[in-house]
Amino acid sequence: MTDFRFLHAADIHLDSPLHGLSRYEGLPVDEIRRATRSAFDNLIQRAIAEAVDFVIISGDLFDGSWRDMGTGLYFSHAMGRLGQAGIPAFILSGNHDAASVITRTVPWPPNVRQFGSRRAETHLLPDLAVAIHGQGFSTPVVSENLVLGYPAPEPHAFNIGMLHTALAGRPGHASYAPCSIDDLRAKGYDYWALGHVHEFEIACSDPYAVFPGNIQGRTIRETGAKGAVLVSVSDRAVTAAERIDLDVIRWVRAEIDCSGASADVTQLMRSVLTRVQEDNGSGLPLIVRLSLVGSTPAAGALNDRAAGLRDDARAIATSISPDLHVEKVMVLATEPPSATYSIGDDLSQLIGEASSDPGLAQTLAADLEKFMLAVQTHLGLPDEGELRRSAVDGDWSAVLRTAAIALRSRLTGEG
Amino acid sequence: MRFSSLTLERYGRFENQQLNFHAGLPDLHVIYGGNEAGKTTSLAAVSDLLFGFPQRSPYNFLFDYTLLRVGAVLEDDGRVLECRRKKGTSGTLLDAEDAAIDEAPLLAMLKGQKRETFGLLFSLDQEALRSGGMAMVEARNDLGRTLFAAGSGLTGISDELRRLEGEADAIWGPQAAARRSFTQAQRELAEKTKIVRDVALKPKTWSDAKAARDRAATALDRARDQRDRVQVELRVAERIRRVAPLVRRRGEQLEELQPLEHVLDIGKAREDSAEAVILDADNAQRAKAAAEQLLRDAGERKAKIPADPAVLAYADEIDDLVSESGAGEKAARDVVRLEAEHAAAEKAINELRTEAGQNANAVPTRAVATRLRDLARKHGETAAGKSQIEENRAELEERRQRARAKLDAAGIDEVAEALVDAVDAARTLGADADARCEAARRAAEVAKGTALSALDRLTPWIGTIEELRRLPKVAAVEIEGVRDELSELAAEIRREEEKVQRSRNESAGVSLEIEGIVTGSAVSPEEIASAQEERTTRWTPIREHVLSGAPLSSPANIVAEFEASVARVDERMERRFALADASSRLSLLEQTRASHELQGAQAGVGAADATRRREALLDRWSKRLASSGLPTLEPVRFNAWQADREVAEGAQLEHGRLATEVDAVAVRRDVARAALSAALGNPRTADTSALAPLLAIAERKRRAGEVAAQQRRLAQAELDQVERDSAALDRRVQRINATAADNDAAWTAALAEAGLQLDVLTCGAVLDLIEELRGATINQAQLRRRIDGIKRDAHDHASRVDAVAERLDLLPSDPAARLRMLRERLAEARSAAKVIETLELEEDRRSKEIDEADAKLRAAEEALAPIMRDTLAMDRAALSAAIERSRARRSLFEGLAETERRIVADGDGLALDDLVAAASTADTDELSRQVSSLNSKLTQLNAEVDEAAATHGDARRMFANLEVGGTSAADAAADAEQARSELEVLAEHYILKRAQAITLKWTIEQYRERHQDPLLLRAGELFSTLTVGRYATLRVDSEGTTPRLLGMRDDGRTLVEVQYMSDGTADQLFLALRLAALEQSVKSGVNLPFLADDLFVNFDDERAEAGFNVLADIARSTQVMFFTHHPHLVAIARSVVGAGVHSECSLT
Repeated sequence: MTDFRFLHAADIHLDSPLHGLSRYEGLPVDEIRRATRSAFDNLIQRAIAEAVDFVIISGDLFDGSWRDMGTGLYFSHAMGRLGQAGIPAFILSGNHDAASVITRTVPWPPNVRQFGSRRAETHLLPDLAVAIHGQGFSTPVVSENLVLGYPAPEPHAFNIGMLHTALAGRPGHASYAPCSIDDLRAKGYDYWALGHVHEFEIACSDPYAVFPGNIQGRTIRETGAKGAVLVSVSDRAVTAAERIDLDVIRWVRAEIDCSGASADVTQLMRSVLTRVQEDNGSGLPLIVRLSLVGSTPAAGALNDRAAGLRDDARAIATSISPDLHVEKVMVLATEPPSATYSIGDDLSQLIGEASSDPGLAQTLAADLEKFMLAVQTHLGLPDEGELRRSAVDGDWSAVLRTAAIALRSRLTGEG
Repeated sequence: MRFSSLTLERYGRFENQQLNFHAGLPDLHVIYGGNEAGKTTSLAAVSDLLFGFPQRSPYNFLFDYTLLRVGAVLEDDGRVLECRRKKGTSGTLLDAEDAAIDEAPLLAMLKGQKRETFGLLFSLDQEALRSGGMAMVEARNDLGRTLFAAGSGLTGISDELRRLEGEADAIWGPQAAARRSFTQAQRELAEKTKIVRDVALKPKTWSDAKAARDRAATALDRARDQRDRVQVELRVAERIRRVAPLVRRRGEQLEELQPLEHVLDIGKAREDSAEAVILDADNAQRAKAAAEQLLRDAGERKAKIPADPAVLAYADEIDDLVSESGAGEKAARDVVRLEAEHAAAEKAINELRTEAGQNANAVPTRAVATRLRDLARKHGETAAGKSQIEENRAELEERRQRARAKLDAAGIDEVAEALVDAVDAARTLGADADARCEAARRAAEVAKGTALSALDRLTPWIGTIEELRRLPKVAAVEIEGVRDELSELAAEIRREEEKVQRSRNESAGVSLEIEGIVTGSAVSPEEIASAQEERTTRWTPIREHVLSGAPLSSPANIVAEFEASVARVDERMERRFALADASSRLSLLEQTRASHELQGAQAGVGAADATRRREALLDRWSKRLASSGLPTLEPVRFNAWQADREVAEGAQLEHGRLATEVDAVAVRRDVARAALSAALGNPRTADTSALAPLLAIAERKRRAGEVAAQQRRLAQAELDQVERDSAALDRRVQRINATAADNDAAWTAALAEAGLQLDVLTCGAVLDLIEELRGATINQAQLRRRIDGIKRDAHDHASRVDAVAERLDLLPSDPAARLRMLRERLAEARSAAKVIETLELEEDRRSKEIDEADAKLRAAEEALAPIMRDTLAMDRAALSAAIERSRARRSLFEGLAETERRIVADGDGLALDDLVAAASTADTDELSRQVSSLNSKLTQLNAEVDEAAATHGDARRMFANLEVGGTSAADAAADAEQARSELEVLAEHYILKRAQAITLKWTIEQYRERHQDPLLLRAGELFSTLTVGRYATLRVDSEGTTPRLLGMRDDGRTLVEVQYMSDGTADQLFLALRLAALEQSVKSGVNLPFLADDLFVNFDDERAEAGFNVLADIARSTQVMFFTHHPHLVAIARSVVGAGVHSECSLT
């Protein structure tokens, strides 16, 4: 009877920066810069501490166009530390590092086995009676079902299949190397070590097919704890697949219900941020996105004060804890239909009409044309709900609607 | 808001210029002032008061900036604000005491207006009217928008627009600028992206460095190999060269060893011990010979020394005698001195006895002698005390005489008690009693004058104070009741008169309107028929053309003519309808006029009634006062009279109080003065009423009396003291006499006990003599005893010497000589015995030494016996030679072994034989050449290795640096991402700000379009009024690129552009526009005073009157101030609003 344990990780994206977080006083710049490396260090340390028998990384070690050999060398040194502890590592390329010049150039230490990308290969660990099968991505886009080409299971061995895939499709993830659970099951392997999807998921437990998720959240789309999976095998059967946290900074979304609130939402922000901090059992620094939602007559004022709100929220967060940071404040609050204004009915009505005036939409489009061009050269596609998204989509009346409620509030306020 | 008054306290050329604007409708005020009178200054003062002084004000030519002040009383919606303004940066709004006050109430009254908007809308001069009007007509620049904004009630709207545009501009603009946040983030992003590019470690760089390191390592290994080979060769050659001399030396040593081959090797240890034993044996033999010689010498010396045992037998006795003989000689010398001392003592005793006389034989005890001496001392003390008492008595008598003399001299001068009391009483009045008396008198006189003048002020009432007191008083409530009733009646009269005037005005207005309607010409049915006929005529050819295709000569003209004819028909029809409408309006207007006239008549009746009631009330009041003897004054004036009356009565009371006080003070002073005068015995003084001179005389007299009494008291005290001292002296005399009697009795008793005859004065000397005699007698007896002892000892000594000498057969002689002989003989015997003893001891020591040497010799021979057997040596000398040979052989062997060891040591680990063989065949010269050549070759190769090592080190370092896996690129990428995030946020903000700005701009335009019509309509009405109907209204011509404002003439057809209007008409147009905007603003609640600076200069009298009518109308909803330097305009204004309500101020 052979008992062993291994660590299954994926989507390291080493040295890829955190997105959406602009710099401000009090932000731990160094921690943020080194977040993916620190999480990866945690992975290595954990593997050594747990004395696992081997480590599996199912693709996307590196981020696409990243060409700094420093990153590769860092990875190589880390693998060297595993090697010194007598732990072999198995890696394969995913969509992000398929064409990575780093993976081609870095000399791996002897304990690292990399799977080829032309056909599926098998590595054996005779002492443990383990056979590991896998095929890397040769190009960033792989649309065929790679599983079909995987070899038959080794008899009398624990068979592991490594694969970078979105299975039959996962929201927010490109549908690469598509395959079904049935395809996996048909292979007769004992464990499918999957990669590509950044959320932890046990897609199937007979046999096990597991996405460990990435090891460090890098955008507000990757909230919550991040890490790897520690798999225990006893007598060719998985006895445990335990999730372990490795991340060093955590992303959190928090909503503030502004229903009926005034334009001064300081107290609301403070109480929500305090609650977020209190709920943070991990002790890790948090990056929070605050969304102001609900129906309030002050929606216009909140929209108008968006820039100031972000500064306020950051100041409040800093005062609550040095480990609490604010990424953005999204104003999604809406006006109640019965909102009234003290600026004169006709003027208010006029402002209301503005959003449906086609001429005005054209004027705005022309006015912002150069700016949108300037922005396009630096920024990618905006998120849903952002004004820039409406502008890019040509939905000018949406922009004007937001502007109108902000403007009304401005004129009623100090104007 | 309105000004109730404006005060130019210190401003421009003004100082305390006050302008009052009483309330009432219309709130129109004409401020008249000639040229240079300061109209412009006053206008500026209003702005400065409301909005604060500008940083540079031209109105400081008379007063310094810090002194400038403008004040006003403002009213707004029932609130009153009295305030003043100074120049400064903060806290410039002041109250009456120059203390800063809160600006909030003023700001509330200003309804958000700023100096600029106020200047545009509410403060106008001719020039501003023209430029502003032109801008409005052409809808040019912000002025139009501002006026619109003011009209809409949103004064800050264009500021808001500017702010929004500013906020957007601070984020992004078409031109990048460092101040813009978007540009900043953009630059940060570019900079960090460049860093990422620059510092990222390229795979090729890394591979190249790795290859370079490997190449350098290979080159280094190769160079090291070559060098190592040469080093080996060099080591062989140097080894041979090194061992060759040692091999030669080894050969020589082998040759030297050959002759000693058969010599016995005794061994180093045996050799050394044998040699030590031989040395010991030789030493022992030498010691034995020396000891035997010394033994023999000692025996010979002893035999030669003589001995004397007889004398040695009496040695102790002789020694005793010798020591006694010394003491005997000293005693013989002492006897001579003692005999002389004994004779002298005896003589002294005899002399003392003679001196003592009959007391010579008395021997008193020491106790008695001491008591006698003590009694004699006491007797002396008593005698001295008596003589001291006598001296004291004489001194006391002298003091008594002096005191009596002083007492007599002091005399008797008592100060009268009456004088003391008078002085004390005068002093309590105070040093300034006279001055206070005078001051009180003067105050009383002043009060009297005041009371009289207060009485004078009560005219027209005339009378004495007593008469005044008798007059009854009228209660304040009663006076106020009458006053209020009167003022109510006055107000009622004014109201009724106003009503009359208003009804008259309205009636006149209606009349004018009636006239206007009546003058319109009617349209006859014929006119309409003819126009319709013409229309039919023009239509016929077109109809033919349309229906049957008949040709048209010039279609455009024909169609135009037809359209004109249609228009004419329409116009006539409309006019006909309009006239019908006019006649119905006419009857309505006539009804209205009749109603106004009726109202006017009713109001006139009301006014006359109120006037009658007022006169009746006044009559009643006069009678009420006259009946009481009070002056008949109006309530207000009577109130003042009554106050004066109270003042007069009060002054009279004060005068009475002061007169009483004067009398009291004078009485007190006179009493004090009379007392003093009596006490002094009525002395003559210059002033008969003043207190001070008399008080001075009395105080001088009182002081002299007090000094004399003091001296007498002192002398009497001295006399009393003398008597007390005298009594004490008598008591001391009695005590001394008693003590002397006791002493004498004790003296007599002591003499009897001692058996002496003594005088008390000389007893000391006699007692001393007796004591001396006793001492001398004892001393003489002691001397005698010592002399006798010495003589006895000398005799005993001589007899013992003779006895010893006899036994030793000495010749007879005196004892001293015989003793000297005995002593010499004993010394010689003792010396010989000592020498003999020493020699005997030496003989014993030498014998022992001889025995020891013999023993050592025997032991050595035993020890050497085996080795002598082995070496076949016969004696110790032969043995020594054998040892020498053994040593020489061993030394040669050791040298050889050392040489061979060195050869092997220098032989790089090779075997001795190989080394010897290699060295034996080597050629030394050839070897040197080879070494030198190899050395130079090695030097070169070492240099090559060093170079290769350096190259390798560099390559390795360079690679190692790359291997570190630095984070600069990753850090820069993280920073770039942060900058990108900032850009995203800024983009959101920018889009929102721009969208807001554009929406607001659009809204303003829309609003203006929609609200233009009412504004224009009202402006048209005002324009018509101002031009006295010459123009009917205003029209906007929207054709063409920009809309044009045109005036429509009273014919309803002619349209005139502004540039073709006369100056006056253009001014009236501009004023109409401004006033329409003003009205709109006032309607929206911004009702600030309208300040017009000579706006009617281009108006003829008729239009000026119309202008005032319009202003008066506006002045019903907000205050209007009209500044002018034209007297005829003032007159027109007065005629327009009516003299009753006309308000006028002058600037002086």
